Amino acid sequence: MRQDAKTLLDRLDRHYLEYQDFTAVAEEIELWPLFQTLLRDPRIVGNRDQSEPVQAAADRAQPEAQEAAPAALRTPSAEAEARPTAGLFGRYGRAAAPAPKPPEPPREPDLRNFLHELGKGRA
Amino acid sequence: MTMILMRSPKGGVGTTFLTARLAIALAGRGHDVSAVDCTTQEALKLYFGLSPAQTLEMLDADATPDAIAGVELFQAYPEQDVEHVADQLLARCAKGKVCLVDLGTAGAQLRDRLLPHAALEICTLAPSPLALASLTKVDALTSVLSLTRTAFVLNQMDDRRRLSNDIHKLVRTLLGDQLLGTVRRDEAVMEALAAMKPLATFAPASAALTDVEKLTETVIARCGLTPGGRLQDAAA
Repeated sequence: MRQDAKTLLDRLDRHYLEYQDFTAVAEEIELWPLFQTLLRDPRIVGNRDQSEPVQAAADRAQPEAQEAAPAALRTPSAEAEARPTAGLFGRYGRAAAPAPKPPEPPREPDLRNFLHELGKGRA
Repeated sequence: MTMILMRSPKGGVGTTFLTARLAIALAGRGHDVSAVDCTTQEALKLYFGLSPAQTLEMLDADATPDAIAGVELFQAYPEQDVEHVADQLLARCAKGKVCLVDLGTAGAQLRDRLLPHAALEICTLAPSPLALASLTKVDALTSVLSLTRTAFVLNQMDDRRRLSNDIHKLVRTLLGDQLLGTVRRDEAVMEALAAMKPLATFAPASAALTDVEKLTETVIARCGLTPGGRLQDAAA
């Protein structure tokens, strides 16, 4: 064991470190583009056009899940585009600052619902 | 007979490490365990503190090797004769043993031959984009979520790193019960190899060891294992 880890354990009067697992909900998972691609790959999730059990559960829950979907789904591009820009141009005397673009709708809400239903089904 | 296949479509994710540690942990719980290295790397023995120069007993040899940490170790070369190796494995495992077979990234032929006889296939993943993408290569005919004998272990996990953390969360949600457990990244694993000592000797408080102990309980429950006769160490 490294000396700094041993010193810490000695101070805590412990012999080993205990780690706590924090279960993530589907909404907290950041969907990198690779994740999105793989979640659509039939070699992993099966053929989503056919009535496989997982897809069936996702389809049934999709209308309710879309209503309850959190307002801000985290994707790297969505976060970047949500930053307000109007105030940046005011001091430069331009007649009208460009209106802030409305945030784009989440890229893959069906994937997040799919993950959500997977998590529920396996809970 | 209980055969557990250990493999991964991607190399370098810790399949051999998990094979060794699971075998040792099962032997420590009173199971009669063999571990067979079917890879050309011949790295399984290193996790038992053996030197690269030492050779393991060949699987088709008549002699029974001495047990190390309660595990009989064998070497096989399936690329030479897949059917022969498969027959030998089935014969060895028929004697009431728990047999862990390290297939590494071996081709599908031996795996497909053995899978119908296996209690469980454990696929190792690592929290990297390449390992994640290799999920598409787990089975040629069946989607991952539809596999019934295949489960996964996420190895080398490091939740201090953003992407590793994200992959961990994704895999846990996606795979559910198919994810048997996670094993944390621990430098002590590599240090023990460099020291040519088993991990439990080199770093008894290793986080990876703790995680493998938990994983072993899950594997025992999944396979319905009950302790059999215990092998005596040659040194005992």
